[in-house]
Amino acid sequence: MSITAVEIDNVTKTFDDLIAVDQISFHVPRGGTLGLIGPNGAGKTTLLRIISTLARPDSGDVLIEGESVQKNPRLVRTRLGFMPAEFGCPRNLTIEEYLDYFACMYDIPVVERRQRIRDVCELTDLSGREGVYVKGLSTGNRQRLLLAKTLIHDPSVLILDEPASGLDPRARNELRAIIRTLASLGKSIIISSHILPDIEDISDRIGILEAGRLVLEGDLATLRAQSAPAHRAIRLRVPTEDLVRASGVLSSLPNVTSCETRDQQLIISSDEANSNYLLAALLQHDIRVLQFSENETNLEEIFMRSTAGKVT
Amino acid sequence: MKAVRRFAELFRNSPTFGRDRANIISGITIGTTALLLNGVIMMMILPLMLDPDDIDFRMLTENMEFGQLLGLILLGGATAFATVLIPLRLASVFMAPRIGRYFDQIVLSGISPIRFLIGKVTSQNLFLALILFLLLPWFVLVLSLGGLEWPVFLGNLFLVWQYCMMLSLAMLWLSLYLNEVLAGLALLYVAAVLCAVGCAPLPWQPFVVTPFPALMYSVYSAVNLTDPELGGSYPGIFLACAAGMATVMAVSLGAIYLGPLYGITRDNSTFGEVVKAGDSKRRRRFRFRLHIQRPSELAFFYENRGDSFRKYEGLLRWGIALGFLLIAGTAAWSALYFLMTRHYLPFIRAGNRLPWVAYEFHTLCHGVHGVALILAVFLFSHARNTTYQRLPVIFGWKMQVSRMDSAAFGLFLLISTAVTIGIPLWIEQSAAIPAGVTLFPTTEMQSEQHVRQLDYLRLSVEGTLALSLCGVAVYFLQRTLCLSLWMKSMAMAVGALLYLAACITPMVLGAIIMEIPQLSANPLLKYNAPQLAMTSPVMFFLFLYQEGGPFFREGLSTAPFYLVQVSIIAACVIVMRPLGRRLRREYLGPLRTENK
Repeated sequence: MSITAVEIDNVTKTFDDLIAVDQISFHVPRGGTLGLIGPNGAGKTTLLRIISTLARPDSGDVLIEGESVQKNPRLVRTRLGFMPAEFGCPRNLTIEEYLDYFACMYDIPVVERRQRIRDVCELTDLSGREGVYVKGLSTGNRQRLLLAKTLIHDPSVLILDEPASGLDPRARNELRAIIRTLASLGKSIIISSHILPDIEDISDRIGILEAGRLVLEGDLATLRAQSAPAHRAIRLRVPTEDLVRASGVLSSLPNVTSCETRDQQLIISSDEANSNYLLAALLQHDIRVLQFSENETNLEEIFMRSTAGKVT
Repeated sequence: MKAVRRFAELFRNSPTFGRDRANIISGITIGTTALLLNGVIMMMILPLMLDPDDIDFRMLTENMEFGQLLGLILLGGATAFATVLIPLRLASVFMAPRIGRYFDQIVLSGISPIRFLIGKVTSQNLFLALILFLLLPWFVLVLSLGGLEWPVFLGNLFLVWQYCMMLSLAMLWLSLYLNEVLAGLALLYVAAVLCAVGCAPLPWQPFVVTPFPALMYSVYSAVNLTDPELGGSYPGIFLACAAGMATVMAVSLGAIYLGPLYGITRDNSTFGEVVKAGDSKRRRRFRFRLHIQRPSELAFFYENRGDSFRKYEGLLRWGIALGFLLIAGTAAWSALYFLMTRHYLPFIRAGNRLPWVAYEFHTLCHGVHGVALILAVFLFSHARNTTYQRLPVIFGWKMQVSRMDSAAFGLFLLISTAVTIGIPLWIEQSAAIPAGVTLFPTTEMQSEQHVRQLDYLRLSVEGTLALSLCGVAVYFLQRTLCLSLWMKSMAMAVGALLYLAACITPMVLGAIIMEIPQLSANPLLKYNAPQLAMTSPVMFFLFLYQEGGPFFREGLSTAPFYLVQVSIIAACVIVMRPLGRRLRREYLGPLRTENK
């Protein structure tokens, strides 16, 4: 059995003259979680629809656990669960009826169906609300229900398109916890979102799309390395009485490009990879160092640095 | 046993059945149905109650038990009710998931179209059960009044059930190709017309695709309106209705199984999903296509079906179409054979004079051939978005739709032409000559004074070949139009209009020249008018059957007809080449026209 859950190989998709997805390749290992981020119109949804067999690529192919989405879409569909960005459902259904409707679609045997519904409700924190009508659900609960529906046939690969869109911070937090649980159950997950802290928190690997192209892909450390700025920002805290002296000492060092005092802290910009020389210089001048840290680039900064705001 | 269980499960375990069952067994549906149904029944009974002394009504009640009459009215009312409501009930099978934006989720579930749709059909049983349940008080009244003929009543009840199933399947079939609202209205219209003509006291009721011929039989036989010679008996009418409806059901089921051919949809196409920036608001209203065209929806009919269908799609699709034509043709020819050998020939052998028998026989033969060719033209042509698709035929071997169409049409044309020439000769040898008559006379007594010289052998052979040539011309016209139009039914309608114009115009012009003395005085016009009229296929056949009048009697050349037909074919070939090239360039490149 293939150790790669999803393999995207040089996929291109165009709509008339518009290139929605342009020669994208990456893979997701079994049990891995890949977060896709990108500005609106970057091609995330189109790519997810191609992975989910809902659209055909013009060229390239996608393999889900070794099966091509073009050659064997029916088999692929049994292995993946797609959670669309928008919630659609038949009218006047309770949560249980809604899940039963889709369980029946997935041909889950009648004897197993009730237990399966109970399991997914429990996993998505919908237990005890099975009799509630879908039309009266809050956005958070609708997203949970959509996720429950996505899980009803126990797929091994999950494609989640903007699952946290429109959720309040608490609901987002809960949804994040559910997704982490799913990842711990061995599901391979591809998730697209505009909420970067969520992606940073959930994903093992992150892909940044812009104008249909994959501009960066890898784990967070790799992305940081790839998009690292030329100068490193180091934050230093020294006793207040030594602040001016310390600033003078550090500014005189050859590798320090700037040294600012901000909120009783020194922010040093340096182009040297090893920052120990800063500590050495301060100790040499008998200045106590209370705090020494290097500013770590977060995903938002990486995203802003790696994208130019282009849309297709 | 396992297969039986799986078959039963197909009906029981359809998600749409569960949803529809929940809808039917709800207070609002039961209440509304009860009100409307009783309204319909009251409307049907009211005229009888308002004027009980009406002479027709009295004649009816004198010859028929009132319980039996009321039973028929109830079943008729239930049929009328179902005619209106079943298409409406099924009008949301695809539209609701599209509007509710969960069609993609249905596609992703991998459910087969048949399993998805069959639940909708099965649930109509529940709807019929609800109708019958709501009619219970009326049935109690029927039993109290007495006189109910149970076998007839139960037979009619079966036909009403079959009619409901047929309506459901036909509606689903139409929904695959039309917007469901239009499909519902079209079905309602056709069913209403068929119900109305099914009520007519015809000696030989051909409209046996509704239960009305069987329902009305009891009434007409009570007042002696049935033809004892041709009208048959209730079992005969019952079987004819059951067979007629079963045929429509089988065709609908086959069409649902095949589904629409996977087409390439285009932005800003006539299906209207406008997604381009800068479109006006008015155009954006057409964003939402009302019937299935989106590739992910069409995928439902392809990818979610068994592997065998996907491997042998071409073989199945064209094979079923060809099989349907051959079976229908065999049925028509068998009916003609039995009509001749069981009815006409024994009638003549008994010493009766039937001067028109050969004429009618050959007209019927040409009629069968002509109708078969029209059906073949429709079945073996495809609109521009599918013409150049390549489909798997057998063992992974793929073939272009246009080539499959041409091959299938050519094959059917050969078979039908051979059969239309061969069967009259065979009937002549096997049945007519032993009966002492001929179907190929050279003279025919029309009246005591008038004897018509008509070469029936020429009529049969040349008429069939000419009809085949017309079929080829119409087919080329249809294929040419299909290269420009999105819907083959539209191409068929335009083609029919054009061909009709080619049939009628020269004939009318020729007639005008010959009938207006000022024009016919011109020797050039007078000489050429019959030739001009002869370019029309209608005139050609009138000439062949010697129905063309004094100007078209003898010695007139039929070359103009052949010349025009060949010219139509040649013109189509010339036009098809650039159109085909353009379409190939457009479609055989990367498929990049799907809407988001």
